[in-house]
Amino acid sequence: MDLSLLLSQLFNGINLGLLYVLMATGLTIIMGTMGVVNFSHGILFTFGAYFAFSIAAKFGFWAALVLAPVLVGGIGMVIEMGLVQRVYGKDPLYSLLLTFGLAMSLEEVVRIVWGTTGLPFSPPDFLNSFVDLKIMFYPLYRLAVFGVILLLIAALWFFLERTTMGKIVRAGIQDSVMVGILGVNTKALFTLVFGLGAFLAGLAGVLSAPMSGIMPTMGDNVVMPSFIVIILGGVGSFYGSVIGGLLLGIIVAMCIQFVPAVAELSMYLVMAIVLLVRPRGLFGEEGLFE
Amino acid sequence: MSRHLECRGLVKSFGGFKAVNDMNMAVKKDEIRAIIGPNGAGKSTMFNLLTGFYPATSGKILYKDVDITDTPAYGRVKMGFSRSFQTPRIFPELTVRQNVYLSVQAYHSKPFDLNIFKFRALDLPGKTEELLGIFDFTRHADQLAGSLSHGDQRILEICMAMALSPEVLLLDEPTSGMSENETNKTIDLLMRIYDEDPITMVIIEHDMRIVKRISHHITVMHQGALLAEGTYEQVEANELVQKAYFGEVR
Amino acid sequence: MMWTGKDLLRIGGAALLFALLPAVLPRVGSSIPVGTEIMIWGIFATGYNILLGGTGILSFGHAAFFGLSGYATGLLLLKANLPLSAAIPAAVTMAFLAAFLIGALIIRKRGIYFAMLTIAFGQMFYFIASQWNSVTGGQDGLTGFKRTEFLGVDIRPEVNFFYLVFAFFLLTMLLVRGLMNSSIGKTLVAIRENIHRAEFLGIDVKKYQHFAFVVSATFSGLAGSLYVLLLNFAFPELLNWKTSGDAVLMSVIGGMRAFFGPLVGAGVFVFLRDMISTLTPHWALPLGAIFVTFVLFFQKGILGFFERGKEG
Repeated sequence: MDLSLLLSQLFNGINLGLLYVLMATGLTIIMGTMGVVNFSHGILFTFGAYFAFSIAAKFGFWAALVLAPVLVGGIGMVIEMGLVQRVYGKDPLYSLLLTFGLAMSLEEVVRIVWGTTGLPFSPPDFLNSFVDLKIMFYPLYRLAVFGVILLLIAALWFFLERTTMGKIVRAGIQDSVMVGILGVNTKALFTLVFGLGAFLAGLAGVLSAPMSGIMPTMGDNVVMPSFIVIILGGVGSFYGSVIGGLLLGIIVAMCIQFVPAVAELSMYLVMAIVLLVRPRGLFGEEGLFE
Repeated sequence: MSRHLECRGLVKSFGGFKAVNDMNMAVKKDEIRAIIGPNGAGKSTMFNLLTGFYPATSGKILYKDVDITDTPAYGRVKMGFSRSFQTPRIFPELTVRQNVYLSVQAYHSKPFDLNIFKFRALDLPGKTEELLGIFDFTRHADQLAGSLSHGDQRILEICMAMALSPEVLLLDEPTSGMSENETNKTIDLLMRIYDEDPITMVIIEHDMRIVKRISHHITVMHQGALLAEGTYEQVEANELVQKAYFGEVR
Repeated sequence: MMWTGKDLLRIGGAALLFALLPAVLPRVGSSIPVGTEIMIWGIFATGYNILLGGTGILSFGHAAFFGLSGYATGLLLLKANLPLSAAIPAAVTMAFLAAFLIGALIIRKRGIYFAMLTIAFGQMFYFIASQWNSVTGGQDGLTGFKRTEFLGVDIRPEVNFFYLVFAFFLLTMLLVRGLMNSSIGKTLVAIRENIHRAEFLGIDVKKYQHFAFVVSATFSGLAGSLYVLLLNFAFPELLNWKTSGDAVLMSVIGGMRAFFGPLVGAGVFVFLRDMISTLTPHWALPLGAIFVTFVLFFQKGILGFFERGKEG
């Protein structure tokens, strides 16, 4: 067994997993706070990548890295205010249907605006090299992605644990009705949470673009895994989506290396097993959707 | 039968919190038992355990000396249980008539019963009309159940519960949210039903006048456990009960 | 199972309408296969709506049964040389069995978890279909088979096949209507309306939900078999959750609570898709927008306007 191969695939797994974590965290705070099942999360990811493409063309990579996710966050808030708000309190079925239809339409919008063929996206040249890690060589860009996401996770953790706003968000995930009764402007909170979730999805899209390429359907490959991560980690749990994301990323990457045909299938098997054996996931609350 | 419905050592924990803590209760056949207690005493949870809405954490529930602790809710209904909920659970988008019909149909059918001839012989629509009449719903039969007043919805629920010809009727605060008028109407109805054909009843009630008027025996719960038991006079005089209701601040 | 006079009138009316399509469609710039396709989606959506509109359960995995039966049909024709009159029932039976097993496994889960499980199983089937090259032809799909005859009747011409599908379509309409009229159908509605009350009426809710799942999946299978025969081609996208989503879309737009709702939705879907795609390849955009509009403002669907307050 080639150690360097194993290790580099492990790193790939963590890399993939961290992207899943970004997506899943966004999804889970939306689901936990508003009870909304956001099937449009994938298209927000896609928008992140496409916005980055367009912004980078004019203003360079770094501007794209910063602005694209913010733009996607903004779009998220618009979606929430214009559409999602209207299905609060109803059966989660409606939010699922709504966001499903939205994703369908927005994917077409992407095709209309940017065309149907894949687009290239490269980070600045200096990131295009390989790093000598003694046991193996590993792309610098991917290591940079590690760094960015870990930083972001730390920032998120700080936000949720240490800031007042963050604590309100956490409380909202626990019980949004109570939070409202305690005088918090839940309307604004919900918009913020949705925007934050969208921001994370957009960021994941930007970061993913150089590694996976930009295509209208790129979101499809991350939507399902994100839901699986949430189910694995537990709805509404931040730690759950971190651990779940990493776990799933590693499982998938390992499968890709050793049993490629089964790689996608393995994801769904994981989900099915978790749902059948321990539906609340690793860190979720009992009975949330049971 | 002295132990028609019984529970022994019944416990229900939610995480670390014991909502029902070692409850014992034995209801006689055709007895009207009231369960009272301050808010949070665990009365509704008890109900949910007895009817199979929640699984018990530990303890036993016996019906006619048969252990039904593991019997699912629908199974208990088939054995003769029937209940109403604190917030009426009816079929809001269906008409009053459809609501009652479904109860009547449910009582008379086995799963996937497609025996049309049997149904025709039973005359389910006829039985439905009869029930509607008893509960004074004939005029409103075609209204959507969800459009009824709160009080009427509760009476509808009782009607549906009675459609199941139960041997044990469990009513969770049947008169809460009702006006004085509606309350009297409901209690009169319950008494009439009982007089015609006595059944075992377990009722959660807050209104002491009602408790005094209809119950044969009272169980007082406090913090999930049995505090006292007896007739109205006995319970009224009980010091522990007084302390629980008036002396303790939660 | 019984039908009221009104039921028979309405179904008869719809049948008449559809029976005339092969004469009408070519004259309005459309074609007979479009009509066939509407009926096939009508079978899919009407059967599916037993579960969604009738019992109140959302599944995003019914395309799995649609596609499973479709591939089975193709394979039975190709490899086993079965006559169509045997292949179709065999394929549908496979869908039935798959649904029975999967349903038994997942029906205990509620709401969104159940929906996610249906997606999981659907996607599993999808990936098997797109990877198992030797059997399914992989991403390229399954070809090499053709519909030829059914019980001696030549169904290669579009118009003949139309009427074969029409027969199944009529059968489906009658069966589903009869089912929803029966005590079983009423019990499903009770479960939809208030699951706890249903349970406390002594109804074994899980058993009935399982039943609804299996029956709706069986109709999906029938539709899938016919669809593959329409195209003489089977491909992995048939099993995708997006195809499942199409059935949901049709039911919602046409009206979940109305018996003819899913059929209307199917017609709208096919016409919009075909009409719009002549103007632009981006037909998914207006379709998605219409769907969103309906989810937000017209939850009772198109037929909801006309069937206000009544039971479907």
